[in-house]
Amino acid sequence: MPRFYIDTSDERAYHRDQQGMELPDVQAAKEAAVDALPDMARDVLPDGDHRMFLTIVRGEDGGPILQASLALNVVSLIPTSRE
Amino acid sequence: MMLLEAGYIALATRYPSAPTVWWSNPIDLQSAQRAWDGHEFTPTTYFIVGGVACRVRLLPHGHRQVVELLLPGDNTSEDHIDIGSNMVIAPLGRCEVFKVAGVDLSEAADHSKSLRLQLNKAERRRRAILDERLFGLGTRSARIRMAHFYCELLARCGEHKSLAASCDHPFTYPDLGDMLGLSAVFASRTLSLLRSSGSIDIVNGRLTVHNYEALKQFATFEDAYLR
Repeated sequence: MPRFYIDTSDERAYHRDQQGMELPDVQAAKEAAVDALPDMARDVLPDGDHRMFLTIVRGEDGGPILQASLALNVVSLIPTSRE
Repeated sequence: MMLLEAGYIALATRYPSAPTVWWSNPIDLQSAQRAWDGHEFTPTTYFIVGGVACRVRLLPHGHRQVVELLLPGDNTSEDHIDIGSNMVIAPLGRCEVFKVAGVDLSEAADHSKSLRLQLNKAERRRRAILDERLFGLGTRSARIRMAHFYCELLARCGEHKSLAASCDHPFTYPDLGDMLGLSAVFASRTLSLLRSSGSIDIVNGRLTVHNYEALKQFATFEDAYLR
């Protein structure tokens, strides 16, 4: 099975995957990359109202194959005391 | 050898000819159920003597889910699985197992109070570990959950009595993810963050914790549930 490297970033900490994972194909690597995003978002909450979470899939040669992202935006729907 | 401690020594004495066996392939617990005719099913119990194993549920399309970590001194029985669940004991690397038929175990327990006590204690501990895991899923962040897992691993291996502690680490990212309720990729990220903080190191399949007391404090780990 081919080895894929999946890097992760939450804008504050970037992790470059050095070990990689053996996965059947690009589709499985895509699913693994997308699967990580909700975990990343859940783990930093509540810590700011705006955050972008990224995963980047690289192939065996280290070249990027795809990127997945999840944006967190919290917007107040009631006027604050300063408005 | 933890298996031969306390009550388990009665098993080894009673069945000196029952050898421990090295396994490197999954033990199919489902096949025992298939042979069950409803009347004569005597579940076999597997005692882990050496190495690390997991109880694993096999899923469609080659996927699997680790449901329980098994370390030396632990046991698992065909009684622990539900009808229809596709469960195996999967050694992580090579694993030494002592296999006792249910009838033999019942007979040995009838003759040995210490064995009965040991089996009851093992079952209570098994439940306490599962409870603690569920509690952690609901209350601890990924990093604390992982730190807690490593504290528990070292304590269960009996390697927690000095400041620096180490034990085998045969786990893949998907294994860690399953045991911690995380995706494999996020387990990899969490492990990387713990390593970069200097709390732990993993080299050649060996986990090293440089300051076990500090990791315990970070993980809010109390080992009372393991006793």
